[in-house]
Amino acid sequence: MSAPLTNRLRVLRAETGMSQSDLAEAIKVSRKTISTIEVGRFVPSTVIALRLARHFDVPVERVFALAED
Amino acid sequence: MSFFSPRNRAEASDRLAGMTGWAAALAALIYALKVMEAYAGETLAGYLDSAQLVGGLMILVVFLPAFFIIKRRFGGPPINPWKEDGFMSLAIQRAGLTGFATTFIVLTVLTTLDRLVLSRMAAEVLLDLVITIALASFAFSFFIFSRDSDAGEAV
Repeated sequence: MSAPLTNRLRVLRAETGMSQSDLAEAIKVSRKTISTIEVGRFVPSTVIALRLARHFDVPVERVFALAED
Repeated sequence: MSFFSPRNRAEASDRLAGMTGWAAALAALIYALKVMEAYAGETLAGYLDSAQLVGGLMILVVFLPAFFIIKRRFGGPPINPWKEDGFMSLAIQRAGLTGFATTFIVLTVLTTLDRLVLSRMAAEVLLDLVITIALASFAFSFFIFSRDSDAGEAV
């Protein structure tokens, strides 16, 4: 499932030194949820998107953005 | 890290969902053996019967305890792969829909072939066949939808 959505999850994760597994544990989702969001295979729900943004203490637009046409 | 010893609740959640697929696949195999048993000779039917027993015991002895061990091993509320709105939940939903659609199509085709197929099959065998198809299509599509994309696991 490809999505017209880009994300900076991998960058934010690298900046904070977290593995996919650690991040998934922190926001209470499965690890595959994180890995598939990162590669654009899964579009997260609004709740998960907001939880991710809150975890990194950034606005949600800093994590996700619509891909340019 | 083995299949039954995830590092944390996030990975345990993936394992629980994965076990759902494997248990469904094993159950499909058991029902397939039941269908085969109906058409097998006496000796082969005996072996198939034993194989079904082994499969059933595997579900009881391996999957069910592993399921509860994983759930109990990690403190705090478990991450439920069926309830959270994550990727595995979506994979399970899509697999369920595929399983239903496949079963519906097979049943529809069978009703059009009533004289060729239905009249020659016992109702019990037909039910076992339909259950086999439903479980197998669920398990197969679940594995397809949830295939791993481990790229980028490292920090």
